[in-house]
Parts: sequence; structure tokens; C-alpha cells
Amino acid sequence: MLNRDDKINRLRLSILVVIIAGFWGALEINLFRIQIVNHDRLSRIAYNQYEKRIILPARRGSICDRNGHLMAATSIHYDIAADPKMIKDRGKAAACFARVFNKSESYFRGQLKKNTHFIYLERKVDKKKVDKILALNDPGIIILDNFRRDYPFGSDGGQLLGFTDTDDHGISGLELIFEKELAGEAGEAVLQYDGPRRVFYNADYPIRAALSGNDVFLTIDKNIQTIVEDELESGVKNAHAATGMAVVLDPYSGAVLSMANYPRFNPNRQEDYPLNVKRNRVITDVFEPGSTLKIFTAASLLQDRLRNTDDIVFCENGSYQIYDRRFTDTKKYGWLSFRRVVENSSNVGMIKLSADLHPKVFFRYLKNFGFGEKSLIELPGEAAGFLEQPMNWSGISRASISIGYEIGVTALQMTAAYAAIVNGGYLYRPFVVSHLRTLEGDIIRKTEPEVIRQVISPEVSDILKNLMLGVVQRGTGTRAALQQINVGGKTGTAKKYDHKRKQYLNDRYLGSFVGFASYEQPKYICAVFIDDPRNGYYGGEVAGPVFNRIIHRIFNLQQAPQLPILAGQDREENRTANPISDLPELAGFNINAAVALLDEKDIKYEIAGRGQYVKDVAKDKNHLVIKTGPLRLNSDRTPNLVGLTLKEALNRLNLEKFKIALEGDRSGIITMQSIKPGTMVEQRTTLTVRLAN
Amino acid sequence: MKNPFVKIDYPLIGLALFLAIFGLTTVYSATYSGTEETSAYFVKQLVFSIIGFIFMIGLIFIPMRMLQRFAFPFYLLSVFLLIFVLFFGAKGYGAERWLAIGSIRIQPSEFAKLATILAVANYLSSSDKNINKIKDFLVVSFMILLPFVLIIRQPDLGTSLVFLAITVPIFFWAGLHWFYIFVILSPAVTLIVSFHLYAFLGWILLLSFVLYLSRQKIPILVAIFILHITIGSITPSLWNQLKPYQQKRILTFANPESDPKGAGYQIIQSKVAIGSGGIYGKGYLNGTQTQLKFLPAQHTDFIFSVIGEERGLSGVLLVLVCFTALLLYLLHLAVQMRSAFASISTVGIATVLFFHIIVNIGMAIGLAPVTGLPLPFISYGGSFLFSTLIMIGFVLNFSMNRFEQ
Repeated sequence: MLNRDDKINRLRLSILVVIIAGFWGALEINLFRIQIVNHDRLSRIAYNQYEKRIILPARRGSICDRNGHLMAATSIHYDIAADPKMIKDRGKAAACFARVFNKSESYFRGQLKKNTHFIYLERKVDKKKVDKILALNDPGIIILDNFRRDYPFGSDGGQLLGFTDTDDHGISGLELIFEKELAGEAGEAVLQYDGPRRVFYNADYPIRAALSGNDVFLTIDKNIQTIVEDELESGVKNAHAATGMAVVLDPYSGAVLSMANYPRFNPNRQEDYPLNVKRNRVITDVFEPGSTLKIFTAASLLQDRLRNTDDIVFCENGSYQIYDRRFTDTKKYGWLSFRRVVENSSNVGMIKLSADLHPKVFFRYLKNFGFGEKSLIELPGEAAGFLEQPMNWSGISRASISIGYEIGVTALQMTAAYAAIVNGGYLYRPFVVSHLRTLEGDIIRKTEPEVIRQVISPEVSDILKNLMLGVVQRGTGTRAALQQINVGGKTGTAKKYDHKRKQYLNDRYLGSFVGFASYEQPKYICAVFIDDPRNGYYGGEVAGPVFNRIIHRIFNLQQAPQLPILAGQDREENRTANPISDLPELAGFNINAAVALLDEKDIKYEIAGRGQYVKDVAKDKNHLVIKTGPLRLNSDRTPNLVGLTLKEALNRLNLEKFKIALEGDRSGIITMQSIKPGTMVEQRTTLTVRLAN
Repeated sequence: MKNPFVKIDYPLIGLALFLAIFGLTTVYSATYSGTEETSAYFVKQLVFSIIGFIFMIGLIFIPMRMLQRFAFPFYLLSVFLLIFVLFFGAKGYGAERWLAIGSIRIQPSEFAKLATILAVANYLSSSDKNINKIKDFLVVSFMILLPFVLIIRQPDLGTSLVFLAITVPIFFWAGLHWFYIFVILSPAVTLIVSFHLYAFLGWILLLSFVLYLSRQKIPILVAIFILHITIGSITPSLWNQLKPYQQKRILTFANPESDPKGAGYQIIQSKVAIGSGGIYGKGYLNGTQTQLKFLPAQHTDFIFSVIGEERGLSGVLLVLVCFTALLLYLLHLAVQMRSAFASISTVGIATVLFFHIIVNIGMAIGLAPVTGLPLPFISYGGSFLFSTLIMIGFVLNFSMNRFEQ
């Protein structure tokens, strides 16, 4: 019988209420914990469960040479894995794997027995083998596809191409600088899963398709690149040198046909190489070029009409002091013509010849040739080099720079500047990318050759080419000479500077040769730099033969052994000069200087004619016949006189051709000249100049 | 009965109506397919709700005496149906718990709960019966254990546990001496602490103290003490004799999260759904876990997770407050009722609802084992909704006649 006592009932009620409240509290605390405290964590779990963002990778563009050879391409490869618990027929699968991958069946049998849901069986498998595996049609087999950057030519142009990281992002070289264009844009798909693990696309997030990257077409010629890499390698090895660089450039457009560094770098296995080998030193490394720079000194002297190639200079027997600095030659030269100074690469001669070259003028020419500035080629990490402002030059700076010291250049700058020397004076911006092509085949961003400026006149260019021909034919660069075609060039042997000890090292050199081929139709500028050679060190010895081999192979001369015909006069001069190779070229020398020279050398001679200058030298049995004549002017162009003082103008003018008429104040600066600069003058003409303060 | 409508317990009807409507909207969301088409589940549930409410209101107009008179026959019918279903039941989820009558399938176990409560209340309400008498205690215990055994044979562990759960509150409300309640509950404690030596010793010490205080006859105390010592010493060795998979099954039952791919999967999914709902929820029909069918049995056993995800802590609190208000209101009525039959029945009904609510929500948030007990008023399931509404109908009747002896 139920107890009807209200008091007891109320006690029982309270106990039940407390129990209910207790449970209610426990539920509430837990709900608070789940819905407030753990909300973020559980939301993330929920999100990951039902939504899966899948990145649709974009095809990375290829890099091709000028003829469309693939130099860098993205290829697909497959990884084969399995879920051993899902494998339907273990024996059959193991047998198939063993057959396809050439491994033992028991190995795969063992792998497939492992107590896991995922195991790699084979990596980097090609499509053919994958198809065989797929034919098994086993639900436990997992095929994973991966994109991998592939460089089909291995180390050819490795530093130029650069490489990518494991996520296919460009890390260096062209891969880096064209990252945006090559990479394209990854697409994205949002997949939704539901409880029974069915997958469907979410209508709220339409699939964003991947945008393929563009292909980059280079100006590089793969065949030339291979030749250059090969020959550079053997050149460096023959010279027992540390490293080497070589560039081949089209002088009439600035297109880079080849850009090579040694030691080689194979981007397919980039992780195996130290950092300094991956660098494209052709554009990143700045060095003092040495004598290869003399051609620009010569260009300045000739263009500014300070000197003619026949001017002679006394080379101080190979040692010349300016202030505290002694400049030396490798041989003890006495009197040499400008031409012979270049051909024999006399430091003293070049320094003395450029004595009248105003630092500002010299600086302007060098600047105009592109030194001290980035060429803005589309490659990462380009160095500007260094070229001090003339106001900061020391007493010996002009002398140093004139022979290639106190100036820092890159191999590319040097090559591009030589192109300007050879092509008639036009400095082209060097470029390595000709155009980009979209997946659809549209050509975008085509690079047109760009003339930055004209630095020297075509006539001066011709003279310089002729000087460079002489270097190869009888000067320091004879080892670069080819039998079948005429080439020109200039050697350089730069002492290396020790930045720690702040002095030039006597036994460490940078040997270089910059040349062009052919002489008559320059199609290629080829620059070769051999760093720290141990077996010989002259540029002509270590770099000249490399140039020779490269040009030889480029022209593929074995098949075409015909001898090009040279322009008559040059040929004549060369022939006559040959017999007296132990003498400087005397043509153009003042007759007194020539006589003094011959006396010193104790060579018998006779003088024919009554001219003031040596016209030609011929060997007659045991003595020389010096034919004399008036000074031959190699240019009758009207120079630009505006901005000069009268004295400077008179220095620059050939007064045999021009009669000067003055207007205005003699102490002023020329503001106007009656004949346009560059006009050819056939006969003696009156040139009126107006001067003003 | 002059005007029955005046005495109708409108607050109780209001609470039941609100919870049922809230349940219907939740079932709609849980079975929402994303199309215009209304789900068959929702329609079925709606039909059962309407029929259930008609029956619930109809019960008001039946005299309480008549209800009491029919209590025992109703119990006998239920037991018969439970036996019948063991032999002729339709299979559902691997257990024979359904009885098919034409196209309608009913679960006799749902009605057996109410029938057992009414029969026990009826038995204890007669003036010559006393729960503290050993004979009456055994009779009542048998009346409860009979359907319990029949249902556990189906097997339906969750529902059968409801019968154990109502025992103690009914006995307690019927005036069972606290010592006997202690005797009933204490073996469970002994079972659990037997695995830890110091806990077991401490418990035995406490037990001895309680037995000493009880001032019962010495032989009874000794018998109880020996029983506990026996249970405590046998359990660990019994446990060790179980096969590992059997042990694992028991452990997983107690702690589902130890088996994240099996039983724990449901718990984890449920917690993820509730947790990701946050304070205000993801919005009606916008629960990702619900709509993408990550939740297992989301329209039945795990419907609470749907509320948690789509309506957040605020919605969950609303439901819990309604349930608590309902339970407290039922207890309030039980105290007021003059009739022992009505009072004990009401406490029994409150206990059934309470047990369902606690176990279902506890299951959804990982506090209780996964037993498959539905949430009253809310979970999909015609038989249970119907029986729940009938139970409320009985209480409405008792409430109207609360001052009747």
C-alpha cells in the first residue's frame, strides 16, 4: 500500500528531482563541451569528411630550342601501389607484377600479404607497364600519376634552363624567370562525399579547369649548344682549368645561340650538384677581362679619330711605369704600329696609344658598348658588372681600363659588345627567348631584335674586324685560325685579382678568346673563357683552340672545303707581311720610326721612294725594301665636332682633307658645323664651324 | 463528469504537442532527399502522430476505474504478444520484434512497457499489498522480469533494459525500504569495483557499515555479505575466462569509441555532427552531416544529432528544457494524485521517458552505450510514438481524476 503521507512523498519527489537534475546537468555539460569547446575541431572533421578539394595540376609548358627540340618538358609517370586487403587474387597479381617489373614473384606475394591498406610496389613506371597492370582489373591496385620535369638533353644548357623543385616550381634559370608563363594555373574541383561514400561534384563549386602553361621557345640552337658544351669541356680539360664559359651570339640580332658553362649541370638530377655549378656564370659572374677589352679601347680611339691603325708607338721594351704602377708586356716590344699593338696585344702600346683618350670619352664609349649595365636579358641573377665613373678614376685607371683591368664584365656583356664591333657598330640587346606559344599554338610575346644604340660607325667596325683578322692570322690568336675560312678575334689573358690579399696573382689567369666567323659574313660571335688554366694560360692557347673547334664544327667544314676569296688588298698586305713575322707590321709607320726600328733589330734595309710614311715592306733576299708614300687615310668621314673646343676639333680633323673656316669666338665651343657628321669627303673641302661661348 | 474540458491538463497536452511537432520537423529534415517530394517517413510519422493524439485525447473520456480494471488483462495480452512474436515475429534488423497485422507492423515490446507499469501499479495499489512484504516483492519482480526476459530473447537489449530501469523508481515510489533498494542496487557496484583491489576493499568496508546500520537480522546480513564477496571474487576470473572477442564486445558496449571503425563510428559521426553545429546550428535542412547521410540511423536512434547539427546548442537546450519540464511536471502530478494506481503508473511512465531520454541523448554524445533506444516524441517510429502518446493519454486521464481515490 502506497504511503499517503505528504511529507514522505515530498522527500521522495525531491530525491527524484535531484536525480533528474543530476542527469540533466551531466548531459548539458557534455553538450557544452562538444558544441562549444570542441566545435572547431569537430567542424574541421566534418568538413574534411564531406568535402575534398582536389587540385587539378596545370601542364607546365615546355622549353624548346629555336627548331622546336624539347629541352625541358613535363612527362607523366606512374607509381603503382596496392591495398593488400582489397586485392582480389593475390597470386595472379603477384605473378603479373613479377612479369612486368622483372622481380621475384615471392617478393610481391610478401608485399601483398602485409597488414596495411597502402603499400608502394613500384615507382616511376611508364605507361606501357601500367596498362599491363591495369589489365588485371583488380580493385586492390592503386595507380598514382605524377608529373615530372624532364630535360631530354641532360646537361646541355643545364644552367641556362635551370630546374624545378619537387612541386614543379622553377628554382633557377629559365624555369624560374618564366615561372608564371610556364606554370599555367592549377584548376580546382570540389568533390563531395556522403555517408555511404558516394562521390559527386558540388554544384556550388563548379570545376575550375587548369590553364596550361605556355611553351617557351629559345633562340638557342640545340646543335650549336651541344657542340659548344663538348668543346668547352675538352678545352677546360686540356687546359687543366677549373671552369669555363662560352657564348655564341648572332651579331645581327643579339640572339643567343648557345650559352654554356663548365662544369656541366644536369637538371634531371639537380640535387646531386653543388650550388656553384647550378649558377649560369655567363651572366652572373663578373670578371676583369684583360686584353679582350683592348678592342673597345681601339674602337674608342678610332671612332674619336684620335689614332689611325698606322700610328706607331714605342712600347718601352715591355715595361712602362705610370705613377707607382708598372705595366708589362709578355715580350719586349719596341716600336709597334697601332695594328700590331692590337695583334700582339701589347699592354704598353695600348696604354700609350690611349694617352690622349679623355676619360669621359672613353667612359662614354665603354658605357655605350653596354659595360657596367645589365643587358636585361630575360634570365635571373644577371650582374651589371662594374665601371667606375670617370670622376672617380685614379691616375692609372684609364691605363688599366684600356687593357681590361679595373672594369668588371660578364661573359654575355663581352659577347654582345663584340657583336657591336663586328656588325657595323650596333649594340643589340642580347636575348635568349624568341617567343612564347600557347597550348593552342598562338604565338605570344615574340621578341624582336632591339638595337639599343649605334656605338661606332660601320667604317670603324670594318677596321676593327680587320684588326681582329690580323690577331688570328699573325697575332696572339693564331691558334684560333681555321684553314678553310677566315675568322677574326681577340685574345685575353687576365691576371686574377685576389680580393683577400688585394693584389693580382702572378700564376692565376683567366684565358679568353672572343671572335667571329666568318670574316666576310659574320654569322657568329663566339666567346670562350677558361678560368684558372694550369696547362698554359694565354687566352690564345687555352681559349683559341676551343673557338677554333666550335666554329669548325658549326660550319661543318669537312663537307665544304672551299676557300673563300678575300678582298684583294687585305690579302696582299697579309702576304707581304708574312715573311717578316718577327718584325712588327711597318706599314703606316713614319719612315724615321721604321728606320730606327730596323736599326735596332739589326736588319738590313733599303728605302724606295721619297714618301714620309712606310707604304709597304717587301723582303728581297737578305734585306728589306721599304716602299714609301704619303700617309694613307683610311677614313675621310667628317667627324662630329659639335661640343668640342677648336683645339680638340683640329686634333680630330684630317687637315689634308678639310680647310677650316671659323665663325664666332675662337675660344668658344663649336655649336655648328657646315658638313654633316659622317659625310664622306672625296676632295679637300672647306668646313665651316661656328663657335660660341 | 460535468464538463470534462475544464479539467483537461492543457499544459501537458501543450508540451506533448510541441515535442511531437518538433519531432516531425526533425524527421522531415533527417529524411529530406533534397527534392520537392515529401519523404514517406515524414508522412507515416505524421499519420501516427494524428492517430496517437486522437487516442491520447480519447483516453481522457474513459473512467479511471475502467482503466485500472483493464490493467491486468492488458498486461496478459502484452505478454502473450511477446511470446507470439518470438515465434511468428517479422525480422527487422536481425531481431524478431515486429508483429505484422495486415500491412501494419507493430512492436509489442513498446506496449508491454505501459502494460507492465499499469499492472504493477494496479497490484501494488490494492490495500492488502505491501512492497516490503517478501511475497508481494517477488510477485511484482516476476511481473517485471517476465516481459524483460521475453524481450531480451528477441533480442532487444535496449528495450529490455527499460524494464530493469523502471523497477527501482516504482519500488521506491511504492515505499520500498531504503535497505532493500540498497540491496538491489549494490551488486552492480560490486561487479564494477571487483576489478580493482583497493576499490573493492573500500566498497566492502562501506557495505559492512551500511549493513551494520540497517539493523536487519544477522543471517540476512551475513548472506548479503557473502553474496557480495562471492560476486567480487568470481567476476575477475569469469572475465578472464571470456574469449578476447567477447571481452572486446563488452568493452565496446561500455566504451564505443574504443572501436572507431565499428560501433564507435556511429558515436564519432554523431559527435562530429553535434559539435559542428555549434551554438546556433547550421540551419534547418542545412546540416552537412545530416543531409549527406553521414549519421547512422539519423531519423531514429540518432535523431538528436540532427537537432544538434542543424539547430545547435540553442535547439538542443530547448528540447532538453521541454523534456525536463515534462518529467518534473509528471512527478508533480504523481505527488498530487490521490489514487495509488495513478501515482505509481505516472512515476513508471516518467521513468520510461526519462530512461529513453537519458540513454538516447547520452548515446548521441558518447556517454552511453549504443542500445538503440529512441528519443520520445522525436525519433521516427510509429509504435513508439503511439505508445508514448498513449502513456501521456493515461497521465492526462490520471491528472483529470487526480483527486479521486
